Amino acid sequence: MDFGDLEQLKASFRPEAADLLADLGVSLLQLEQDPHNIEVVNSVFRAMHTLKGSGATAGFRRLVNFVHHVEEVFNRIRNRQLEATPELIDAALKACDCCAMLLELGDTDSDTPLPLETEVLAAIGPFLPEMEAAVSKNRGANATAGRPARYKIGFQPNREIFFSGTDPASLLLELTDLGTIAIRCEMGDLLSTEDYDPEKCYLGWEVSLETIQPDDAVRGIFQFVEEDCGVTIARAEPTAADRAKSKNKGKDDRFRGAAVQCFTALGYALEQCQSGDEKQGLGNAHRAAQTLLSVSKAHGHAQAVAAAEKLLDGIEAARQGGILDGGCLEKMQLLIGSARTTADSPTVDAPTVDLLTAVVSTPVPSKTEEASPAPDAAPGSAAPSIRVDSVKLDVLMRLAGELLVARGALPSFADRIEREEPPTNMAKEMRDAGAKVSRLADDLQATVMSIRMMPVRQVFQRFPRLVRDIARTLDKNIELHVTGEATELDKTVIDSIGDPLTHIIRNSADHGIESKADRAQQGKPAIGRIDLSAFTRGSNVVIEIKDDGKGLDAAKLKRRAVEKGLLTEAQVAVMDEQEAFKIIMAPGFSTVDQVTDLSGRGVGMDVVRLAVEAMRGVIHIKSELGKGTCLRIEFPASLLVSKGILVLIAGQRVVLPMETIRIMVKIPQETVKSIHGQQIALVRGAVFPLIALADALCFDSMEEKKERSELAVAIIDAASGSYGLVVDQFLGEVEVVIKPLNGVLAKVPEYVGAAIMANGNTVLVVNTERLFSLQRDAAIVK
Amino acid sequence: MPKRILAVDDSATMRQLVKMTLTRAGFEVVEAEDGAKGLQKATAETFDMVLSDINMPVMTGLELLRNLRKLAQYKFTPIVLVTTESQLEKKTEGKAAGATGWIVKPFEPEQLLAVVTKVLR
Repeated sequence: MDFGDLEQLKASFRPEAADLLADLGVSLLQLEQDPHNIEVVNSVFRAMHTLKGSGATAGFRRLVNFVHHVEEVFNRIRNRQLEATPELIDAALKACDCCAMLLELGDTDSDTPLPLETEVLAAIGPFLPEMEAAVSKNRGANATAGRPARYKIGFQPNREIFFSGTDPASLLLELTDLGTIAIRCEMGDLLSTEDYDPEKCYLGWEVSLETIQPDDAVRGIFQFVEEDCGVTIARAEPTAADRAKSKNKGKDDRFRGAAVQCFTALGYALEQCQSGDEKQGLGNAHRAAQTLLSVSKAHGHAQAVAAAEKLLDGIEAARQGGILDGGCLEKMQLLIGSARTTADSPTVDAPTVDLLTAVVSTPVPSKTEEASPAPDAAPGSAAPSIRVDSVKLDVLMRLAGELLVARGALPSFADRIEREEPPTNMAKEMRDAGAKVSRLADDLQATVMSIRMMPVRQVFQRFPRLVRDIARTLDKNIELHVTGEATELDKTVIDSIGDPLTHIIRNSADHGIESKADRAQQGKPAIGRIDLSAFTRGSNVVIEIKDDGKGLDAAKLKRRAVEKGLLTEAQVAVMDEQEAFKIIMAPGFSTVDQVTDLSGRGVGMDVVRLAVEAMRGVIHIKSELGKGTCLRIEFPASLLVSKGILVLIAGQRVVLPMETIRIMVKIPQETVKSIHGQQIALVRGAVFPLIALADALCFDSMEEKKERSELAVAIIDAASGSYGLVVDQFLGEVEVVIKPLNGVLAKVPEYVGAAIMANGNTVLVVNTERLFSLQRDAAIVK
Repeated sequence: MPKRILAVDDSATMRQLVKMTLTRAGFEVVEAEDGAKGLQKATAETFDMVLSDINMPVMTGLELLRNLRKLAQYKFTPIVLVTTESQLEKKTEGKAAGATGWIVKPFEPEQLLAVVTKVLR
């Protein structure tokens, strides 16, 4: 195996491992339902085994070492030595998360385990009596077998050693790779030498090495210099007391490593809070403190357990307290500090003092460092890759070939024109050739686009686990039904839709589905149901999240919006039910009185709406009190090419995205009325507020404003409400490639981007989704 | 910048094996088919390491080694000799002439890589 191959192997292992982990997640959930199904146990074991085997080939040593232990647990379950208890399955699911993290980190040389790694190993440890010895080292499979031995090594190089191209320092560095090392340098007669020659080596070294590597490995380092340098290698068998000490030391080292990680994470979390992202920060802090608690428990460190518990209480209090103020942050900082220094009393044993000094001296990460541990900085991380169905590639190859052939016909026309052939026949042939090339170009484009399309399965497959975890935490009975997993969406959407969907599903499980008691009382089925489905509708893709929970209460939403000062009494009075439901997506709105662990800090749905809009999607909400809620998100299937209507306003052309346009109509000027300065119009039996697009975009009309008898109006369905957009003229339907705006233009909310037209001209694409709310906000300011 | 290695051997197969193994491991390998050509290339360009067979026409590996050590730019450069089981006594001779180490033919690509990474550390 050489390094080039290894890199290639790593690159192909990552997606394979991601697939294996996804399958593993599914199997584990199955196993939880049916713990005695040996088929499922086998498939879990197989997936882990493959993960381990391929991981080893690709050089992911840490991952392999970690999976090995979890696999061993399932080996015992397979051999009916153990039961597949919910606790073990929980640990295995966490192990999957941990593997995903290790994959992302690449194979770092750091021996410090991730907090989650420690947590999983602590959970499965009791089921693996032999783990203690094996976990201590991760340098290759054979290394874990040996017992640590101590060597005393004397190395007195030949004075002329440099002339053989050997650097003694590199040999010492090789020794440090083998284990724990202490090096003492002998100055020899260096200081007394009068005719000092910098090209000669005067120094000698005495090394004390503790390693689990075999003798040969130690001796091998000196293979080229043994004969002409003074090398003595003596093995000192450690006494029983030494062994016990070193075992304890290993244990303490691991605990210390884990604790340091937790405190580092806490430091980051605190900075996150200070920089304004309180919810995330507190969530992260909570997780870190919980890990600290579980590792402290696993280590049997009573004082650390007490400190971690106090820390958790503090974080919990901060979360309950809603908005964090400076004083609260200070308090948390103090708590973290006291957790670090706790038990710094004369009664603690030596390893604890070690631990404390190590922990206290951990520098709090600075702002600049904060940016560095981003996963993309991890070694071995590659540009995002895409896996392509080989059939599509074959089609591409064929089309490219045909295009080349078709192009070959073109130069011959030039020859024929030069030979002055009669142009009558040639015109037809040229048109045919042109038509052929353009058909191929169209096919080629369609195929390339289809490569960007991926099944939503990739995103959907994480949700069964999510719902299960939430149901467990909240003690509810919830079933998730998934349909339409094969529906395809643009890769960009697939990549960014995970978080918004997670939020919505979490909301459904947390706030939608009632508690067991409530459901029984209302005579609803005992098991709550969430339906997650995807399907295509025209050129759009729809994702629906439907629950049979308590539904949204329009009256309550309106009341809440007024109480919070988000809307006025007058505003909510004219709102219909549909509009009232949309209040949940307003910034800073939350219906839940008590903030729970899972959701409900009132930032969620607002963020979801923004994320969906960024993907040019639209959210519709349907709900019936007591029956349930249905959220429907509609995206254009492909983000690259989309349809729009080219319109003329004040002599300029802009594009309105097709997705938000309900209808386009011409209405007589006299049907437009004005109420409180707001123009409204009756279109097909419904009343819509009107906005003049030219005004909204601040286009000054150079021409005289002509009094028109008819107005061209596009009725726009935006998430914030429907409205009519008045333009000068509809120029027709266009297919455009929308590119995001850069620089200062990116900050102009009236536009979603710029589009390149078929003739190469650039036009701006109007953000019809936000235009109305922007206008309304502007009006309120006035 | 990849480390540059000069591989001197009169056997094309051996050079191929060395070049393949080391190139794929990220090194840059320049070949020479005897000691004299090796010396010529070594003086014309610079290398981080020289890997040389012993038995070669025109100029043997040991002669190449002695010549290289006389040059200022190769005074401290790792130079590894390739020997066969039958000429293990050359090890000592090579060592005296300033060889950094040796590798015994036939060798596995992994062994070669281990020696190269060791002396180039």
